[in-house]
Amino acid sequence: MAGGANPQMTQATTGQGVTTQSGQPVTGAGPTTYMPTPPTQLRAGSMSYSRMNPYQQAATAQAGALGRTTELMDYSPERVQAATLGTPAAAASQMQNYQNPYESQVVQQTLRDIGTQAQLGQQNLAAQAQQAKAFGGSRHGVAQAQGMQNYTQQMADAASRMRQQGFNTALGAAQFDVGQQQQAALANQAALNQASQLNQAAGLQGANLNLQAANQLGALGGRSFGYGEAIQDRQMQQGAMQRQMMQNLINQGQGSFGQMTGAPMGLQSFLSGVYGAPSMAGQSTSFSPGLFNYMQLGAQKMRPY
Amino acid sequence: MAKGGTTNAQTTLPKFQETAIQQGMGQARDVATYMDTPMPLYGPQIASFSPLEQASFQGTDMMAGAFNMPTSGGQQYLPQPQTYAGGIQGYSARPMVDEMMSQFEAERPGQAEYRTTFGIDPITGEVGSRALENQPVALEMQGGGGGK
Repeated sequence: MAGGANPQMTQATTGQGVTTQSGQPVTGAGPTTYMPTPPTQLRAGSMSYSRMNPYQQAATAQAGALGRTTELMDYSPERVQAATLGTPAAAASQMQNYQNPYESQVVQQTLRDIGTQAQLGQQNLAAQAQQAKAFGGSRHGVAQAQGMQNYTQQMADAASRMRQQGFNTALGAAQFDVGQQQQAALANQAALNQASQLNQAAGLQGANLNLQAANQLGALGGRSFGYGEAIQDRQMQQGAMQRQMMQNLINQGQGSFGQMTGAPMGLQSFLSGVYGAPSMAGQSTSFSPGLFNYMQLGAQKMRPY
Repeated sequence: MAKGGTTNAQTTLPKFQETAIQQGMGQARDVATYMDTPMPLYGPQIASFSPLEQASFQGTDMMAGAFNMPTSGGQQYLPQPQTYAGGIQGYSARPMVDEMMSQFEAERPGQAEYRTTFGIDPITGEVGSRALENQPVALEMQGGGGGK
């Protein structure tokens, strides 16, 4: 359709297309031109929305709100499962980690030291027995056996003491470890439970926020649609006013032309009113006398009074 | 009335009135011929839609298209408006009327020709053969010397 004579309107519309305020042409008006942009490619507040017309904004927002709301309808919060502690490890299972790997060597060295002392003791006993000329005697034998018994008892006592000390040390360390592990497990259990609860709450909160955003998106889309409608209605109203003005001009011209070409008919209509006025017709009567009338007139004149 | 005489009764009008009547009758005859001459349409009759209205129409297309609804596709249903003197933009039914007249003349030439004889030739101004002033007149009711 031809452009209007109004230069402002020519600026706003160019032929079939409409230019936006930013001058971006919106080419064509076909159904494929105004396909809504997939909502996944848009984010609220992005510039993409500002380049759309209000109806595209509304359609995109509506589609986004519908899609997001549908997704959230299937939302189920994360399930919180209580973290449980297993059976704590026995200290005995940990003791081997704390056994002195050199314990046997230390014990053996101690036993050797005691053995050396025993040999020295036997040698001294033998020397004393020779000086007393009792070497090889029964007293020497008894003393020698008693000495060996003493050394043997020392060796057994030393070995037992040292091994008992190693066992106690390993047991204490293992018990300490088990306690530490138990405490760590309890702390981890509490932290895990708290984290699960926080995650669940965060998920619910996020879902609520998303739902609110979807609702707001839908509402904003409706507002955009309203803007478009309001603008369109205003355009229609003002355009109708302009068209009516144009029609008035046409009617005025047609009336003037019709008055000129139809003037004779109007004149006849006017004259018919004049002819309808009371007639001024009059009636006159005249009398032409005949012979009898003259004779009658003569007789009347001769009649005596 | 008395015997032997003659009584005459005559209706009369003032001179100016009789003059006016005769002039009016003559003009009415001419106007009748004029009225029987077809007058084509001149100029626009209907104003075209304003650009704002067109923009609003496109807005409707945008509205429908945004929601994947059918649109006009930008097609124009109305004819192309014409621009007349003074920037008047509008439509005239004359092309359609001219087409109808041509079809009428082609299909019913006798009736079309007959129709034109009541008025005047719009080009030459010649009065048609069946115009009022060309109708034959034979005065039969005027009496003895009473008529003109």
